[in-house]
Amino acid sequence: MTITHSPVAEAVGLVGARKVYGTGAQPVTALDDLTLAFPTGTFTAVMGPSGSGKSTLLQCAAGLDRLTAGTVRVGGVDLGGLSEHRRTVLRRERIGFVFQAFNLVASLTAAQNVELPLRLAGRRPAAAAVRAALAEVGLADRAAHRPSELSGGQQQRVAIARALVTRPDVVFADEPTGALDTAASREVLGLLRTAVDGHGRTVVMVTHDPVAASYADEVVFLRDGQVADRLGGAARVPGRAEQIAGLMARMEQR
Amino acid sequence: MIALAAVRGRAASLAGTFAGLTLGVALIAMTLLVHVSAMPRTPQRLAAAPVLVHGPVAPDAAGVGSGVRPWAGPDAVALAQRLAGLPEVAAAVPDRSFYAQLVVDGAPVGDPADAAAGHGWSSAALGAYPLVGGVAPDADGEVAADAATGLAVGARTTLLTARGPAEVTVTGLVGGPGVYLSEDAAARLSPGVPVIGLLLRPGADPAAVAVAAREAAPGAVVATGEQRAALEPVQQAKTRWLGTQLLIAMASLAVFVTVFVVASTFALNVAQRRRELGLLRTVGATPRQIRRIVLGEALLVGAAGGIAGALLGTAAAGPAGRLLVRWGLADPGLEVRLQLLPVLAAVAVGVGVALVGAYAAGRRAAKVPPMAALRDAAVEARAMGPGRWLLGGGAFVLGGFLAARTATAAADERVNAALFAAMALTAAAALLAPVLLPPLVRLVSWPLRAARGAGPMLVRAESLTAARRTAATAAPVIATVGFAVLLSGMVSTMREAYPAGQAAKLAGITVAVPDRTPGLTDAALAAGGRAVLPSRVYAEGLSIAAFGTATGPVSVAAGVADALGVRIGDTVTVVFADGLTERLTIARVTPDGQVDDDLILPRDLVRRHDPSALAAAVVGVDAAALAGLPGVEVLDAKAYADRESGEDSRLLWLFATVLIALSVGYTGIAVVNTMAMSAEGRRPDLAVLRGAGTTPRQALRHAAAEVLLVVALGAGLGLAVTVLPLLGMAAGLEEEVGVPVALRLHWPVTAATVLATAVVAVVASLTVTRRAWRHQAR
Ligand SMILES: Nc1ncnc2c1ncn2[C@@H]1O[C@H](COP(=O)(O)OP(=O)(O)O)[C@@H](O)[C@H]1O
Ligand SMILES: [Mg+2]
Repeated sequence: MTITHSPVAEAVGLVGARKVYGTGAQPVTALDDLTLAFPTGTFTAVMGPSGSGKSTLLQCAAGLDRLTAGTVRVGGVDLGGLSEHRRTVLRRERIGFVFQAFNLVASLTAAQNVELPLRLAGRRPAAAAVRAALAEVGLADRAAHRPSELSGGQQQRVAIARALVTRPDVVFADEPTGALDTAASREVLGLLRTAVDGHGRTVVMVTHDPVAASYADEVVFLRDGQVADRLGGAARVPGRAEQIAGLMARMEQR
Repeated sequence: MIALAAVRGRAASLAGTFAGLTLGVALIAMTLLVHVSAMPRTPQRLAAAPVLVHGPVAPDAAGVGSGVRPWAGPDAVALAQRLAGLPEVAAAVPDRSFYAQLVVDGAPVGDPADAAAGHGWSSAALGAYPLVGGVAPDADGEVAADAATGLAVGARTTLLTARGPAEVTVTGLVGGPGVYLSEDAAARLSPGVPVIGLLLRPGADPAAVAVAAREAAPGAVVATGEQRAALEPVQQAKTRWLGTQLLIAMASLAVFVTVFVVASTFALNVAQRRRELGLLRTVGATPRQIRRIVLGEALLVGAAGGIAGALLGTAAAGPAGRLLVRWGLADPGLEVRLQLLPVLAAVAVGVGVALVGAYAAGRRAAKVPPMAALRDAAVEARAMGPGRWLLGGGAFVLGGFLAARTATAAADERVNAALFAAMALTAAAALLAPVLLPPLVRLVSWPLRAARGAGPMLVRAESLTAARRTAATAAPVIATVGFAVLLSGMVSTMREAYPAGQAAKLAGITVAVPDRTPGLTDAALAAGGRAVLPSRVYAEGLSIAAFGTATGPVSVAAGVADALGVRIGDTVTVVFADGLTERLTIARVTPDGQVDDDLILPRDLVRRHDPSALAAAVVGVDAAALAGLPGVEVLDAKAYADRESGEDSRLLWLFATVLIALSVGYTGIAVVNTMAMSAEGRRPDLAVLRGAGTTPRQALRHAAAEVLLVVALGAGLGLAVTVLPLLGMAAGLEEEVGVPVALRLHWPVTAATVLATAVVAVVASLTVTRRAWRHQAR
């Protein structure tokens, strides 16, 4: 199946998104009539208290889960109208995903993990392309290693290489640095930043960490499944992390 | 790539599937090779006749074998003359077979089961058996004997035919088996001729002769080459049929159990790797691709197990064939030939079995949502799915219903009801093991609850929390112990009950039976008593077993009546062994399920048309009148009943032991499999124990104790669910045979089954624990 790429200003857009978990006595509304767009070629951080719906937002936007109501468009395609199969194919071609941990198939080497989306798409991955993707994340010499032989930071970098190898419209990352130390976090965030600046990808990242969020062009604050606040401005300028931390603290007081 | 990598990554957890498939394919390859090698062959004594002309082959109404419809003597002789006149035909020999056995030093010699060793002299040429001494028999009272008997030319000896013993002179010695009489004597003992053998001139083409023969003998079958195998002796067909039953039972058990092992392993496999499957889904694997990955794994394991099994089965086929011969379930001439096709078929079955077994797991895997990648996967999957509840509950209800029926049903139905009740209850106990075991563990370990030391507490807690693992270990133990107790108990009880009932019925009566001969002659019948003369007749294209009784109005069994399309009062035209026809009026139709009642005729009628028919026994004889008659033994009721059932019970026992041994083997595989698969999940527990100061020796002891507890409970359950129905069966048997029947459990087999299972389980558990412990230590 081929999906025609039309140049759109927004890589991902949610309109009136609702997500309700459970239908029994106590349904939980994780997303509550949320409307939000992630412009092409930007790096957005999603923050908010625990349980505010950040992961749900990411999963629904990435087509991993379905909305209860509202629409999600990725690259102009409405995910709601797609079958499980077509949604999977679209995800494979247009979306990359990085979790906090357990991103890699334990029995496959780093290179094989990177090749995985291409192989699943029925393409024969060019060895050079895979090598280049690993080199990009600084792991050219670890291609033949299995995940158990890599550090946590290295595993996350392999996951990023895999998320980028299909040249997706958008990469979603759910607390990608949550389990890493400061140095490894910085490497991972730098890679995501480069994906945006150097290759024009769109990145949406959930994080708790104001320092991590300071790598983003825009920070979206969620509370109770709704957008509570937004912060634009320049990424990685001095004092930005403190600014974000201040905003978060104020929001949690409200 | 993914399936291959996955197989590599979880070699330990697939080892059980591999072992199950290897055993399954080995059994199938072995049985197929033996079966193909045991196909009918042209009898040696007809092998020198390239073309055989015989009557139509009529299938047996019971489906066991077939018979060849004979020609009447004069017709056969006329036909033979016509055939002898064909170009390239050197001679056309009407071949007759009948009972004839020589007595050497007072004892009958030769195959005691062969009731067709006698032939006319001319038949020796059909096997190219040479005259190695003396001259051919040419008059009554002359015979040519097999040189192997050690008789000398000119020796006087006794010849047994259906008429009784007679003094004869050995005029010639033959370089081949059989007893050869003059043509006239042969024609009197076997007036009918089933086969005419054609001997050809040197260099003649059998195919061309066959074409000419077909024209000269319309309505006859003209066989060349392999086709001549249709004339194999009936006894051989029967032996092969028995052997085939065992082979079929083994192969079916292998297929069913292998599907079960594969299915349960793959189900557990998928449950254990939900997170990985979810990850693949997030990365872009479609549900169909996930299913293909699981089936791909099955294919790889199936192919690997198939190849290993093919090698093993090929290696085992020779010994298995020899074993069948030793057990009397195959012709002594059986030689297992190695062939590619049966082995390939077995491998294909193995791969198919792997795919069928993995199919459900593949579907479940395809339903794993991408979100599963985010959740902690290691939650112990529910031990009782709805399917298992449904099957287990259904089996329990069915078993309970049948057990209740056992108490109320008619005697002959009780045995079957008890049998099925036991099978259903065993299946129910195995399926419901996750529910049944925790309370049992609690009960059994209750006295230990206050014991000092960590051991009892740990063993108790472990077997309670890991319900799935406990049940997975116990279920095959329950099934196998139940199966072993049921089968061995049933056979032990039956083989005592039936002879006892028979002996009671014949109490005080003496019975004459054959001694080293295939049957009793007229000389034994003349002394009075009841006897049945078995023969064969041909009607409506069927070969039917006929039994001549003293009084016998013509009576047929219901099944045979259906096959012939006749009812009481109808007449049916039958061809007898002598090739002559009679019109019979059916006076009675008997219900099916009785012994020796396919077609009951007056004994005189049978004797008139089949001068070589032999009685299997004469009931109520005067022992003194039979004294000194060769080939006859007189027994009391008890000895007779034991002898009668001896062969049946030997075969039953053989089947039972082979099947029990097989199921013990599979249980071993299933238990080892469970251990290997649960190894991963036990590592964290072991780490905690280690941290808390457990010594390696203690850890191993706990592991052994836990698995022993589970095996013991499984064995107890297996025994419990089978004993009640077996008691019901004994009660049913008692009513059926009319003497008291006690339930006989076969303790050696039961104990051996439990012991073998326990040893395998403990060794597997210790190996897995030790490896996991070492892993921790690193
Ligand atoms: N699978 C689920 N089933 C039921 N409730 C869920 C599920 N996933 C998340 N929730 C609930 O939805 C809300 C939002 O969760 P989540 O999106 O994970 O928040 P965050 O990532 O911001 O911590 C929470 O109240 C959470 O308990
Ligand atoms: Mg979250």
